[in-house]
Amino acid sequence: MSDEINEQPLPLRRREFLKLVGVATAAGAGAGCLEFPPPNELIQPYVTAPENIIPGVATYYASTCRECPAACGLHVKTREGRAIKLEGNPAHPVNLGSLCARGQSALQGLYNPDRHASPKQRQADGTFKEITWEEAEKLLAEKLAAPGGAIQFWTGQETGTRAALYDAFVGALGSAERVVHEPFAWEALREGNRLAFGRAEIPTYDFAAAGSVFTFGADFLETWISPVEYARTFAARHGGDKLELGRLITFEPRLSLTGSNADEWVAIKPGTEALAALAMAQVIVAEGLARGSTGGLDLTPYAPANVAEQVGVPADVLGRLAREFAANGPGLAIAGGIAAQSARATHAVVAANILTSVGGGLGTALHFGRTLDLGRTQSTRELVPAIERMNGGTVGVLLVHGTNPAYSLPGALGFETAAKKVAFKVSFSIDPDETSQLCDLILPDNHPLESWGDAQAWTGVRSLLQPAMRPVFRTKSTPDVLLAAAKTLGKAQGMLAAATWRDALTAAWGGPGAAWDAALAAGGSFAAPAPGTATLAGGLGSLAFTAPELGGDAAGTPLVVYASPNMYDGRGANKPWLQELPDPVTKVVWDHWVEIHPDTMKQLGLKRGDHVALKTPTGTLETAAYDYIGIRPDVFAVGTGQGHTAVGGRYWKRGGNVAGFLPATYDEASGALAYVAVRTSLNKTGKKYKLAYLGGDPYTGGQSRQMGRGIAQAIPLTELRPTEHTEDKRESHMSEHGDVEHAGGHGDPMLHLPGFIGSPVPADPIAHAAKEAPNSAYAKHAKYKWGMVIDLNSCNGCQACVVACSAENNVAFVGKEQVDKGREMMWLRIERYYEEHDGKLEVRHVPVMCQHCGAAPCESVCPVYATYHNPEGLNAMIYNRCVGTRYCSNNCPYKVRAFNWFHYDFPVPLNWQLNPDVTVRDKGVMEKCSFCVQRIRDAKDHAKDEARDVRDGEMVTACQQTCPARAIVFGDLKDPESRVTKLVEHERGYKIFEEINTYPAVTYLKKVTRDVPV
Amino acid sequence: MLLGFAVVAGGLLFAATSLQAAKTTDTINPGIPTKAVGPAITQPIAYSHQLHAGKLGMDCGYCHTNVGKSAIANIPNVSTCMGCHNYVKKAAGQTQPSPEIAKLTKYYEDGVSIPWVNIHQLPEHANFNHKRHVKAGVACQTCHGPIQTMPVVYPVKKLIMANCIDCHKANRENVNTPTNLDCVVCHK
Amino acid sequence: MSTLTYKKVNEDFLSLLRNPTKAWYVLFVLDLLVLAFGAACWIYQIQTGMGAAGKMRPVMWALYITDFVFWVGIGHAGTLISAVLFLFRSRFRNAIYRTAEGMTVFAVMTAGLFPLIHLGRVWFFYWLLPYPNQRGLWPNFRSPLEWDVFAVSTYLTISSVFFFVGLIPDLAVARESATGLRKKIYTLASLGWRGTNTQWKHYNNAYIYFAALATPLVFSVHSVVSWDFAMSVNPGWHGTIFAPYFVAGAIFSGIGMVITLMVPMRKIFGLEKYLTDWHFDSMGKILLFTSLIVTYAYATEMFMAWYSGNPFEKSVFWDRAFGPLGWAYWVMVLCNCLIPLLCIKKTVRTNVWGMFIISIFVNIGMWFERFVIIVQSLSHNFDPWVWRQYHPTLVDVGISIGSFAWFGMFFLLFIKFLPAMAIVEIKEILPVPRKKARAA
Repeated sequence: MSDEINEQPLPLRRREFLKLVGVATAAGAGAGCLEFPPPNELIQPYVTAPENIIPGVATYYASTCRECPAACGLHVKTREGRAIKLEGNPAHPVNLGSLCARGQSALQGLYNPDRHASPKQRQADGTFKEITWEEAEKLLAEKLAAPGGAIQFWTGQETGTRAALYDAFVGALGSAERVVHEPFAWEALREGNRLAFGRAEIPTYDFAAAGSVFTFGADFLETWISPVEYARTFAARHGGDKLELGRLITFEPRLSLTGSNADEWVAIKPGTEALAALAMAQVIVAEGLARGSTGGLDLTPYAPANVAEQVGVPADVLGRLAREFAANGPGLAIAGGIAAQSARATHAVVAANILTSVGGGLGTALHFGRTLDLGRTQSTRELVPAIERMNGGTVGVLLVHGTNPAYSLPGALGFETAAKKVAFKVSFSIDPDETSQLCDLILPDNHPLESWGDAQAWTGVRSLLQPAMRPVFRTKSTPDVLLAAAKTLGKAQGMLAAATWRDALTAAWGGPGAAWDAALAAGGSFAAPAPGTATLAGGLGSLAFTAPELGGDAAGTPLVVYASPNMYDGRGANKPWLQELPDPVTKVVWDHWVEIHPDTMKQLGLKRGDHVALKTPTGTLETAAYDYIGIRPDVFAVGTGQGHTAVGGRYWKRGGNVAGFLPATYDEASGALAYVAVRTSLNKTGKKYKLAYLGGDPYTGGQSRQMGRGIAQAIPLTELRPTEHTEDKRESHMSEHGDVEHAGGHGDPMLHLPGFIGSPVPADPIAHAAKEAPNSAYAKHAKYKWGMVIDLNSCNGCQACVVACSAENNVAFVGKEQVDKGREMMWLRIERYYEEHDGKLEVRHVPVMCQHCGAAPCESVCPVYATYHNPEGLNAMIYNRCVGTRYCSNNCPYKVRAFNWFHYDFPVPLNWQLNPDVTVRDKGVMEKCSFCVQRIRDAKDHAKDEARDVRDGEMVTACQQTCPARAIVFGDLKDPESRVTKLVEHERGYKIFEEINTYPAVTYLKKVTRDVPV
Repeated sequence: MLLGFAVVAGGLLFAATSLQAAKTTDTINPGIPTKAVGPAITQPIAYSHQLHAGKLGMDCGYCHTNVGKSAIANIPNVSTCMGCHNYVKKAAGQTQPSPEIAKLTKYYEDGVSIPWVNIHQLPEHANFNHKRHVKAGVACQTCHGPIQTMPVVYPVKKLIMANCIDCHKANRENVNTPTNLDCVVCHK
Repeated sequence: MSTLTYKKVNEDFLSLLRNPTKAWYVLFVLDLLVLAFGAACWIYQIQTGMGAAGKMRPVMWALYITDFVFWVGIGHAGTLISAVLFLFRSRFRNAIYRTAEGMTVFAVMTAGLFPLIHLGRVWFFYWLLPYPNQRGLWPNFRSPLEWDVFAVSTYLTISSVFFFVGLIPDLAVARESATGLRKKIYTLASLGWRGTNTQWKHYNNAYIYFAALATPLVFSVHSVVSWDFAMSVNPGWHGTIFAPYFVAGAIFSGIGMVITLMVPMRKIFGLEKYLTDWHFDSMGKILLFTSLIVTYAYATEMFMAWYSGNPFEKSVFWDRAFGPLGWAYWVMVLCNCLIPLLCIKKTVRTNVWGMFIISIFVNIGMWFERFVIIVQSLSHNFDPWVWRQYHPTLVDVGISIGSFAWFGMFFLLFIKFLPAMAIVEIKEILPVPRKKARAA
């Protein structure tokens, strides 16, 4: 490690952090047992210790996540001055301690080896040369002093003080304008709300208050507005033991992760969301069930009978769902995602609002008590004049910060060619993205985790960013750069007069003092949510709702473009964790694909992974075909965010850049870019290609079906109603006579043999006799017995836990080729199973990690005791004792053990993120989930210091800590009062493969299936 | 057959070791080992534990401030040294300022960390928590030897598993500080 | 066989030990080349990691363990022929047992490599041995892999000692005619054998004792090996039938290998006089018998899968026959169950080249049996989500082929430097020499 540090560029060596080898990263198990190592390491103390840093003890800083506009609160865990783990800020009203997968991955943005390591200037030959900050800032000032034309400052969506500073700066410069470009800025949503409620804002969507949620394309569990918060509030009503209410019906042509959690999926034609919503509203009104106005809109033309054809859903289905919606009020209908990205996006939003209104959701499930402030953003259409000005050559200097228009704008808008006409282009980008590659001067900003700042989430919720560590590279906070520039230009008045960005921020927060300190400690200032109202404005009668005309060849297939859950608008694409994290529904890794219905695949003569080209009038997109059961046969779907041509070689050319090949069509009302706008043709390119994905592999025998093995079990609501309790729901689900239906009995030929060769006896029944594993006597003196409960009724398959686990436990990422070979290292995977009963597709997500069996098959077969059962019920794995026979994995029924087939690298400085408390495994050893044993040790350490036992809820695993849906509970099974002990006996409780008597320490609670009454 | 012999031999050896462990009276601090098991390394500054900890009788925790707070005993910050050496510039009985203290002062003034060489280098797959051991009343000398008599520090205990588990075996039934032989205590 | 005299026998067999022909050298060099390639593969695998081989989750064992079981199995025929048949005084063994026994030793030496080759961190292999160490750690005696360590090492010890004891009188014979360095070595190795009555008396006692000692190993060793699988929970592995099933299979494959080796030897060295139809007839009977046992075992497995109603078992055996690896299963059935049935006819059993071809099929079939049991069962385990197919890499294949070269190297050396047939025992079955005969 010490040598690695010394390899770092100069600025790093200036950092005085204690560099202790044992503590720092490279704890290679491969080193074996050197009996007494020759002293070859240095231990370098601080010269003067920074306050509140004790080497070996973690320090936490409250900050804010900037991976999407939701602005969740963070607690950044640092060790020896390095951020090593992100955890949600429990006090932050948006996320209450949880984070999503993208939030967890921010660390790899911070330590991204491809980041701009210093200011750079373009040379005559087009290459970049590293320069000093002095030179860079001097150059910037010169150019700003004599721009030779107007100045454009392109920024991403910003709120709070940073936005104010930008505006002040632009204002001070005179002939300058600030252009704001955020790929998913929900323009249509705000415009729709302006029309419907007279407020161009994003209201509070309270899923916990909604009896019935109809979502029209809004993927609120993945990317829509504030996924972490919505996942929590949704689970609060729909998950856990909240059984009676909280139905979710999803209307979308392509089943999103959100859709996969719905009680019913209605596959409507793309763009017809408005019609579907109004049709149901019409039924409700017509049958006198309405609990709110229709805003003066006459709904009769939208009666199901009239629109069913266009929507592609039978009229009676719409009618049934309408009654369902009215019956389970208050009803909340939301339009977003792909619905709010068509040429009729605003209308879809208005229609959804009308449906909410008649469903009685206004004021309860939807209200303006707390609105989301996205600051000043511009719709894509509003960018056109700015680009025109560039084309006209009237722009002298172009500044770009926090946005990547060269990648995220349709190629048809010609940003790139326009930008080339600008004499001097400056990028403040953190990463070498497509836009910064066009620029003449690169002044890399600090990563948000290295920066001061603030962000406005909901009204009254201001959250602060503070640097958790010193800059990794030779970067400088952009606001500071701007302040300095303002001074040299003699424009330092008002806000720009501040000496440093930190001063400006502090001033904006009312100056230093107790209040400021309190805000820093808390992570911001959070007002309690105010109850609000929402009333439908009249005068909607003038609106005419139609399905959008799709561009492109009329014979083509409509193309649905959705925001990728992992890559989002493309900013996730340079983070190995997110690339290796399987897509939540298709489970594809490190790649880009077009989703096609299996039947359509057959017609087109395609196999999964075939390389295909999608053609539209404005471009061609080359990607791989994926047969997805959750999509309409007459639609193709692709996600955004891949196909970069910059941001670091290893992420290039994975599929195509979707935004780039779209035509420049807009939603009339709001000017938002229409992502769902075009029909496309699809042809094989004939190129050899391979997709890497987990599970469900039709060609390697893998299955997306449970084959009646009861891995992800479910139970109908009716069976849970007290009156109809069956005495024992845990009787074998395996047997042909068992409830194969709910165990998912599909697909396995052996389970569906013709009767005459069917087995004469049922499968072995489960032994209920012993609650404890037969060999557990030795553990009776131990103080704790750790166990976990996972509620499948809450888990929505978002996979935040998977990234959190990798971050906490130094799990290596292995790349596409290895995953394709079945060598992924993740300790925790979410298995996604399809169930089909009477034509209805049901998706089940089940997180599978080491089950820490009480009678573990892996333990008895290890010849060297590298894995053994510890007295506290952990199935411990001692990496440095492992010789790599791999017998344990062969004998593991759950196949949760990952073997280090090679030595896996964490390219510097990604290795700075490694958790010093966890051994980094080297080639040839087995590894697996440890129930975060280092966290257990830590909790016990604290308890010992205070001479007490570990309290229930004090010990939290990484996956549990980040779970937005609160689906995971961990604790001590010996404590009769602990939550986990109580839940283990839950009537929905079951264990995977219980009949092989492995006595797992992980209990699953069955998912509850709700049959929507007709 | 060979294996058979190995088994028997091994059995005897373990019997022997365990007996030996049982003999000692104070199980937590069974005695101070003195024999050097590794080289004495010359450090960038000729700091003498003999002088500070021995002659001047300074408490270990005075410089190794976090030994009771953290898993890592921590090497004192340069500023900690300067706390005294701002005033103490000469070795006792000397007229000339000590060149070693001059070195220290230079490090401090240049704001450069002192590149001490790590003598007690724990194998990378093992964890050792100083806090827990100090709180359990294990004397520093039990592992580090008669440090207060060492002008130049040398290791007296190999940092090998045997040296850990001997003590952990002996104290399993210890009423105040029962030890644990669970592997995950040291290997995480 | 009246033309055969003791003298003739001596000459015939000692002629084998004369300086190697060009053909032998060519063969030997080719063999070493293949071996070198295998070794290179292993070195590469150690450097880059197990990933160099095609294994993955869920198939974490594949060709190496297949080869291991295959070679251990081969060994068994040798011990059976030399020890068991000796105790049963079945005389047809005399001509073949030496080769069979050599084969055993070399096969076990080959098998012994694979547990090392398949280790992720082979440099720590000694942690598998129970030796006193400062860590105070023992190996896990509950692990079937640990049992293998003992089973295989014991087997190697016993069979090599037995092999050597059998050699003593013949080495003495070789000593008489040899010269130079060879003479010295033979002299040393024959432990001053002079063929006195007392020596013979002790020798025969010792030989019987060793035979008695070796006999149980025929059954124990492969039972232990089979428990590697039977003791696991995996569907397709977890079966009580495994021990007898594997032992029968081992003898089956072993006899097959004996025939495969004997026929060319007989041809090349013109031993038709000694390896007669009678020998092949008897071996054919054993082949047929064991083949039937193995067939019965296959049938039983399938029946139990069906009868138990255990969905995991049912699924895995359905997949075994009709899944992606079904072809391997049917190759196995063809080679192990159907083709050996030809041995029912005496004309086939006594047709040497016919037996040779059948034995080749048996070798292939038995290798595939282990391949199917290991790879197919693992690829179709409990959790459908992780079902995957295994694709061998050049390293897998290279090392497997290399193992044959390793075996071949020892065998080639053996036939050139040691009496490949038990001279004295062949004399036992000759008519006692008469004056007349000597005069003639």
